[in-house]
Amino acid sequence: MDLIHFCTRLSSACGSSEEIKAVRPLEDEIVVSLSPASLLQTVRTLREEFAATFVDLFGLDQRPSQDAFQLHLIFALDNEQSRVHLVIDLDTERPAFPSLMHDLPATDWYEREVWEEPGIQPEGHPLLRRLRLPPDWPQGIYPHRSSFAWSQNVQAAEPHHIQLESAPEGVVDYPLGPVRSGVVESGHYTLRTVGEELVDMHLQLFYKHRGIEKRAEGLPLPLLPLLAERISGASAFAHSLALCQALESIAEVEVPQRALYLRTLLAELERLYNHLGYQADLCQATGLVVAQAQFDIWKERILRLNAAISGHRYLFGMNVPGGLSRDLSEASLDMVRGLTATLQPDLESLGKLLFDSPSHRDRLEGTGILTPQDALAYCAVGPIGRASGVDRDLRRDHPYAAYADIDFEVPVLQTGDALARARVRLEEAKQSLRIIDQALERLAAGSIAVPIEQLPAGESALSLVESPRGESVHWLLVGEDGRIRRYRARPASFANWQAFPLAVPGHNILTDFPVIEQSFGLSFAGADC
Amino acid sequence: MVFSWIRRGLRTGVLTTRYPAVQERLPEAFRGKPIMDASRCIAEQGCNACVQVCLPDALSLQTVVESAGNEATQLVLDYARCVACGLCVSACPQQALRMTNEYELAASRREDLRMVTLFAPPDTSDGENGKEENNGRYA
Repeated sequence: MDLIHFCTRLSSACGSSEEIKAVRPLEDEIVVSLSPASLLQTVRTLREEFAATFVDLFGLDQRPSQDAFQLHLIFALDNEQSRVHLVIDLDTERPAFPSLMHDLPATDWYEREVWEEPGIQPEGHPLLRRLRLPPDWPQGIYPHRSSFAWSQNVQAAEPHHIQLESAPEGVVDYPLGPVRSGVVESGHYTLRTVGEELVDMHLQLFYKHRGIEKRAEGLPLPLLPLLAERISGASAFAHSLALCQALESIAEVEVPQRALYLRTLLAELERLYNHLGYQADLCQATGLVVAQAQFDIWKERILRLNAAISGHRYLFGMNVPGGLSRDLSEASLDMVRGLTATLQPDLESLGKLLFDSPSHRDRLEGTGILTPQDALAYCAVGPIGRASGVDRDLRRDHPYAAYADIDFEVPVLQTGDALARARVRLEEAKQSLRIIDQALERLAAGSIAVPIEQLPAGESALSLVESPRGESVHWLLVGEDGRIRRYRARPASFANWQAFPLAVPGHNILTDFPVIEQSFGLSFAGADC
Repeated sequence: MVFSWIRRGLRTGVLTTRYPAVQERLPEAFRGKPIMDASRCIAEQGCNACVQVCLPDALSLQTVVESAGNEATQLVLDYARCVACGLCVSACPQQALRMTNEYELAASRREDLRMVTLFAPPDTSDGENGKEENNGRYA
């Protein structure tokens, strides 16, 4: 990446070079400090001239060490395998920045979160209202400000619920959730129908907001992976991996080769059981019960394998800062080999049978279309994005662990319907088997962790991991006392939930809704930390 | 098509296990219920290594005043809070905590999930150090 060209273009786009205060090239990240006034133009230039993809936006209260707030924006430069990290200092009297929503609809929820928790104003945001905090959270109390202690008691205020416009004549609003049939997470939908046709949907998430980011502040190092794992249990390995990678980057340690390959293997096991469970859930939605059982059987086999090799069905407790907490014995590796050998042919035949089943296929084809334009505008990530033409996969574009040395394909489709989403995940499951085989082949002997004693004060690091649902972002800042000062975790589902309502209207009927919901396969807990 | 699925289902057979009629053995490595050997614990000497690493506060130490008026150290392991992460097992300098692969934790009363261990101060009246005599009185 031609840094001079980059700086010149940014400066001239902003009209002057004073607006760009500093550019700091790190190994795979360019940190740009700028003023709020130049934010819009900088973002435009990044997107139009450097093909940058929006990744994250979050805020930070720097007090008491500095009397300022900070806004962080992260963009990915997939062509360069690097990131651009924009940092904007804001004053504490009236922290504000120009809203990016008109250019980039994807920033909607991020700006509302920043308005709500650190209390930074996105000026010009079209509809500022509560996102994650409950309706009875009092005004003027900002959980991400330094003055707010994680354990402090908050007196409930008068509940302030979002009022939806009432349905006109002939239109019916169906409320669905947060408690509904099946063992599912809490989320509420208001489905607006005219006759049978779904015309609109209101989504109410965030029943599971636990304040994980805030909890991490000041926590001792060995406890941090426990938090990350619990953001979303089905992506526990991916999230703890991202956290540990960020810590390893801060501590500047090199994780041993064996650990990198084992991490890759375990991450793919996680992806596998997720993708198989996904197919089962989708079959439940379409009523193909034998198929559901077949996929659930495979998911259960993998969960039992996980328990045997790691002590936990969902691979909790494996990632530690510096590597892995325990090695996988030769017997464990043989179990993995045994499973992949039997799964591979079965997956081929199951997949073929699945998509040839008219009762299943008919319900998926043309249902819940997320157009490629919408997927781009809302920065959809993971298999959802890839089913709508967004050709991005962090394992290929920003490789971590051992992925740079491994061959695999990234399936991408353009149709964006439920069938495309199901196909992409089935193909990814097949690719996961390929990756596991290569990781097993190349696994060398050696240690599985390096110790990390202390974290250097003031340092920060970003880690991006492709969890089973897509791009997960973790950023850590170490305070002056060597403890975590700020933890930012943006799971993939948070990004994709924003895009979900766009797939609901448009020639879908009410009974298509479970299919659309399951075809997205998003995590409610993963929207929310 | 339907027949293909039926054939598949019949071929696979019934895999549902017979639990609880037939016990399910979990792998040795499975992290289930941690148990404590109180005779090895040195909490009353001021050690709180396990409490320090317990994120959900399942392990806690309190000083209680007994009916006789003397102070005792109380270590509580609350299984309702425990997430079986195993950090306490590695943290304990005396290997007093051990992970088992037990997963059946159901109890009918909340208090049955709290394992309370009372460490009375050593009785030094007859000159012995007391550790052999009255360590680990279970409440």
